[in-house]
Amino acid sequence: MQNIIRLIQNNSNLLLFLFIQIISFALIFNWRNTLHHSSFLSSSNYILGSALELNSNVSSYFNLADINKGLVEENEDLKSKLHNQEIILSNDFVFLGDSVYKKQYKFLHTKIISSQFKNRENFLILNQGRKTGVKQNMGVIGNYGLIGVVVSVGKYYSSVLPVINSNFELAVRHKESNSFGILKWSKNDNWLSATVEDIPSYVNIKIGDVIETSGASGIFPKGVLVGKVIKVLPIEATQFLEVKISIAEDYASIYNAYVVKNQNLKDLQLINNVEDD
Amino acid sequence: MINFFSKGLLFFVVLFIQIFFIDKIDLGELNYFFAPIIYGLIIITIQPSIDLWILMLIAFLMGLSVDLFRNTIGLNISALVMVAFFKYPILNFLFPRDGYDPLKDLTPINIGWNNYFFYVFIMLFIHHFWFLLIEDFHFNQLFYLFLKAMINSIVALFVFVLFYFLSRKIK
Repeated sequence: MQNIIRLIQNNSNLLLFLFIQIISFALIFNWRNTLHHSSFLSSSNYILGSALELNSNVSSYFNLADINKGLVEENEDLKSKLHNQEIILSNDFVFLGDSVYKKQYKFLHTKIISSQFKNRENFLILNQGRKTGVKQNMGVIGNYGLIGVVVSVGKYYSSVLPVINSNFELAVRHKESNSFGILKWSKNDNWLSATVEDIPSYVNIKIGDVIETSGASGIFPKGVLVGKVIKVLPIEATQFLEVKISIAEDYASIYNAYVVKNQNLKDLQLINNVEDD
Repeated sequence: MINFFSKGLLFFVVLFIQIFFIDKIDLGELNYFFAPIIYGLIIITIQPSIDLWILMLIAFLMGLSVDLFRNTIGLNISALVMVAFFKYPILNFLFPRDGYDPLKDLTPINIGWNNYFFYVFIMLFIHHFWFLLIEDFHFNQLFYLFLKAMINSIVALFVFVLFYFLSRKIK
């Protein structure tokens, strides 16, 4: 017994070191497996969030030109859609407020107050939280395209898992052929590119083709731009292609985002649950 | 006697620079090779008279505060405690007996420029390499990680020297 106590006394520093390492590895695996950050131990809590917001308030002045450009382009896109709709000739009018149509997606404008792009585990922080109705697993889109999914929500701030995080996965589709694939951020991607896997090799994919969201998960509307194809590689000994895309959003300069709320999500989940049973 | 107040203040300055300046620098294609970690400054250069277990607890708190900002709980804790643990073995290995004054901070003037470069580079390399390794959690790109850790250590060493000159000016 005395020997054991002496052993512990002599190696107390080593034991403390191992103890801290085990704690930190437990923490790492805990959030990597569940992807759920507690809202206290992450930057979606109030103190850290307000520090990040202060920083973004100062630095966003230097990027006003970029922000404006993004908003103008988005406006142009929306305007063209609106005016094209007016020109459609048809015998009967359709009112968008008609009870035949129900608005499925709602959009909440937020500012991105912190954006990482250098690590393997990147996260974004938004300046909207529980108070304005943001919930876990809501989609986030930007001026140009897909951004990511909300993973943890504080009272006033929330953090987002972007495409450029090695834990990200989403069902997407190739616009021209409608074939499905899975969007991932693999080892050799940088912050401007991503990989689409599981597209069968008979699909004809050309460079410059559009990859967009499939809408199958219900957290994004159908047809949100994800990126454009830059490289197509067949995977050896399989029937699948590996497609490299350039992401539509540049995470190094990203300021505006919209949180997507699907009002019919409960119905979709109900159906999915029935299928699982 | 260690002036914990001024060290704490210095840590907040370093943390501020790490989170709000260095992490935001956008170098285009070079971004992947430019992500230096400088918040280990205090753990690396604080005077060697401090007990190892106190140093590791300080490293734990510092790592936690960086993790909170970066949303990666555990990653920076592990890396910084690793640096603290290897500090004394490496000091004993690099320097002969009485090679440094344990009551003084490890600055270039106190231990000599060559020793400083060598010692700080090795500590920074441990920090970067361990951080990148557990961030990736794969061993199939070891050479790439090695190169990345090497380049970022040199950049961070440069920042450390700048910090040293700046702190001398302020005094």
